[in-house]
Amino acid sequence: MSADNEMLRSLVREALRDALGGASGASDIAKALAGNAAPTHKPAQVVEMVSLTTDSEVTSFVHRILDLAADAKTLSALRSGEIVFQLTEGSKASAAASTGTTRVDKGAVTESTIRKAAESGSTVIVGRKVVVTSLARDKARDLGVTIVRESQQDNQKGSVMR
Amino acid sequence: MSSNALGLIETKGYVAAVAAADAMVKAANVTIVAREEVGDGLVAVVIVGDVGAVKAATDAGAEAVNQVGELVSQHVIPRPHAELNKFFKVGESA
Repeated sequence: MSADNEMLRSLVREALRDALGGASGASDIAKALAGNAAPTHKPAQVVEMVSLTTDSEVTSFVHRILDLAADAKTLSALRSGEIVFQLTEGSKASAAASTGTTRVDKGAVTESTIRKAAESGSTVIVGRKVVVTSLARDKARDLGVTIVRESQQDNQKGSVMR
Repeated sequence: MSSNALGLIETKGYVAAVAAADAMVKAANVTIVAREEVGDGLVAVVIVGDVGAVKAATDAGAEAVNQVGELVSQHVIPRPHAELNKFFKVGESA
């Protein structure tokens, strides 16, 4: 799962670097997504709303940029900042929510742990040896909290428990 | 009492097991049916009761063990098969 996301991210970065022709793709994305902070004198500025919450949306965004870059006219519009992208409210909110993760490295995850975690975020990362009680799992399902089991070798995110 | 669920808590250490057992029977309407010691400090406590009661009890037990010792594992079996009683003494009147 995380490997897929990482692959997609690098794909987006690569595509943007190609399309925008900048030295660093990341800063170009930042510029583009920030709604072009530098004021442009051109009145014809096109703002496109972008939602980036799922893998398919990221893919379609990449395709959209590639389409824009294929045409020389829209490519120059992209470069000069006539076409800007804005994140929709939904994807902003989910990005904020995903930052509130709770880590449990030892002991047990009980119902109260989940209830506390649900207030601050929507993900609980548990260590390899941590026991998750049945009631905690039920509660997590009710509150929409994701429990992620940390995998053995590297401290990367492992499997998502259902 | 209808015993349609089985709850198991395994701890490392006798004290933790006692704490778990106490917390479990206090938390919900469940009864303790077995205590298994497999050696190396591992003690398991088995309870029976309604599914909801057993789930609440094992959660409370896990919480209690967290304070005093080490929780090894926790499991709830809703509607265990009667066959279990033949070899595991985990039934209500085993």
